[in-house]
Amino acid sequence: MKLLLIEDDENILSFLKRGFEEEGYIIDTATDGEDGEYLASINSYDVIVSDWMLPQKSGVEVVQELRKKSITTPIIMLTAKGEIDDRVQGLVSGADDYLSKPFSFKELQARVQALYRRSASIGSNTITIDDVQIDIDTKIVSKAGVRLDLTQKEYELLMFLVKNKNAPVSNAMIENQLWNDEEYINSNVIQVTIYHLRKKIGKELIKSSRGLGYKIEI
Amino acid sequence: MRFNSIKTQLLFWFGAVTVVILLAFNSLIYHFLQENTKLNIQNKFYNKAVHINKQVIQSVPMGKLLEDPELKNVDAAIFRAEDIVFLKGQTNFEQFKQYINNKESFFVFNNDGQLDGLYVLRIANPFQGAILFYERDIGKEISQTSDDMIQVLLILEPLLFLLLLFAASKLADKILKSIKKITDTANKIYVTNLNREIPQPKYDDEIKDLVDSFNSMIGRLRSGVQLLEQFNSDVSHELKTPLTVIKGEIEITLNKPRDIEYYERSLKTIESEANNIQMIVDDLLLLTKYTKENVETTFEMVQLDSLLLEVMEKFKTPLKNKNMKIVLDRFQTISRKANGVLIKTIFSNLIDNAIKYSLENTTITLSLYKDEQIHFICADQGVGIPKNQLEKITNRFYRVDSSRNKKIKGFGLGLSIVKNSVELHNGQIKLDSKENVGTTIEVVL
Repeated sequence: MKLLLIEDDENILSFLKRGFEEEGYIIDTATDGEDGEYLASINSYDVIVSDWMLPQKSGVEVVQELRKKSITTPIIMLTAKGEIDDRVQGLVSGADDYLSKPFSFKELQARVQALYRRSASIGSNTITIDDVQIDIDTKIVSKAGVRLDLTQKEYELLMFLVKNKNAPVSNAMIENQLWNDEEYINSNVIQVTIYHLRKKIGKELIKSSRGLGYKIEI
Repeated sequence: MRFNSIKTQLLFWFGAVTVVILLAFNSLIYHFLQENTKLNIQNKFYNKAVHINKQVIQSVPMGKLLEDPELKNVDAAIFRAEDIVFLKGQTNFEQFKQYINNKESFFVFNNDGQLDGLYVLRIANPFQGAILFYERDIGKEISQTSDDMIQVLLILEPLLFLLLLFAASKLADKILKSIKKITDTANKIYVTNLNREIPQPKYDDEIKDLVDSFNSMIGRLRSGVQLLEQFNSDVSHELKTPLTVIKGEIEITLNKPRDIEYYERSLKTIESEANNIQMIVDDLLLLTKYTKENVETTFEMVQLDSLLLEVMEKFKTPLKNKNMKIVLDRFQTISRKANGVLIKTIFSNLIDNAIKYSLENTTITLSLYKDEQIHFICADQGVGIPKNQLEKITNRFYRVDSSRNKKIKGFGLGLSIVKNSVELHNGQIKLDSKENVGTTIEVVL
């Protein structure tokens, strides 16, 4: 899952990034509203976590701009303000959820997961494709009842394909989704990841169409 | 009804005053009646005397004269020289001998509250004597009338008193009703609903003045509470950011075993955020610790110039980092009674701000001199403050355009601490600033 974190306090940004990366998320960061809005406009993220008070452009303004551009990525706002009016304003402007500072990282993660599930139209926390079962909460994938040993990237790729079910995703899309801006990757790495994932969950599940990319049909 | 209520007090005092007035009135009437009675008695007696005199002139014989029915109740005695030659009645006339040669003719005696009258009719030579008439209890009917009158008053006055008291009570109710209204509204006012106002009374009277004062007080409370609420929300906001870091850092670090470097880095972050919290709390304490009333007890003679030099020493490194320098323009030796800690805070906050909001390679000019007052001027060549924000700049937690200054550390308490400290020394602070040219702050003590 790919997240965009917009937060101007470097210490908060630092622990959020470390925390999410350890959980296998792919993280892009921005330290002011304008950067955040730009990144959110050119990349596709599963969820955006944004601070309320930001330099250049406030969190609310960022949300409004993004919604104006029809970018529907779920956004969760972090706010140190406690006033109900402020929270309402955040939600009205187009944010999907908010969390008051100081917060527990586990709670933030749970809310990010929930937003992701909702936006990917995954109703429950388990997804079934043929005999393959994915438990989103525990990130355990099993085939015919046998637990599969997927790497972080393989799991992320699988989830990306599931999210874009029935629609092909290109190599560029995969690269964009599975790696953050700062990492340079060889295009071979994507092929290798696809190869390993296919081998583990079953070749026939991931269809490839030349020139278009890969897809999972559900 | 409460014993101490205004109404009870009012009625008590009104009643007491009424009773005193009525008593005084009564005693006045009584006195007047007494005098009047005496006068009437004399009148009556005079008439009798005229009657007797007339008969004497008409040469009515002495014996016959005393048989006159008009003089039925009158005792009489005829004196010749010093001796009684004729006597009628029980009266001992010997005791009146002295009155024969008196200039007056009428005498009234008070015998145990009963008024007796004596009339002396001198008979000329050659008789050499006088006829004395004496009547007992002569003012009986007259004093009876005044006694009756007093009695009527004693019955009427308590009634009058009750009537007045009743009227006063109704009047008090009328006035107190408006006050009760104010009390009722005031009772419904809490910090949470300060927008309630007491309805204006119909008439432009003292009660309206009271209502006006009340409403304006509520208004002042409202703005005070708003300031406090803003302050509270600012404080919690400023404290929440370091708390978020501390909480998050700990949670992430404890998630799995780490190497020593990780723990060290994590603890350093926590330490620096804890320091931030401490700084905010210290600043807030400094803002609220002293009041105009208690600050003077902390005053002692301080050398302002040496305090300034001491503070400047602290900023050597930050100045060097930005390649800036401080120039002393006018610098005098000045001592004054003041709170040294607060004076140092004024100096250090102003210099700190000047450094923080200045570009590299610029100069800060400081002056400290004394004419009638003491002046401290801190002028920088920094980013300046927009005109429309000059007023707000000393508000607690206010920072000019947070976006621009996010990289500059601070909570926005510095200038408000300076302002507070200056005011505690009965001084003034003057701000002058041009954007991108610089800011000059003058403290006058």
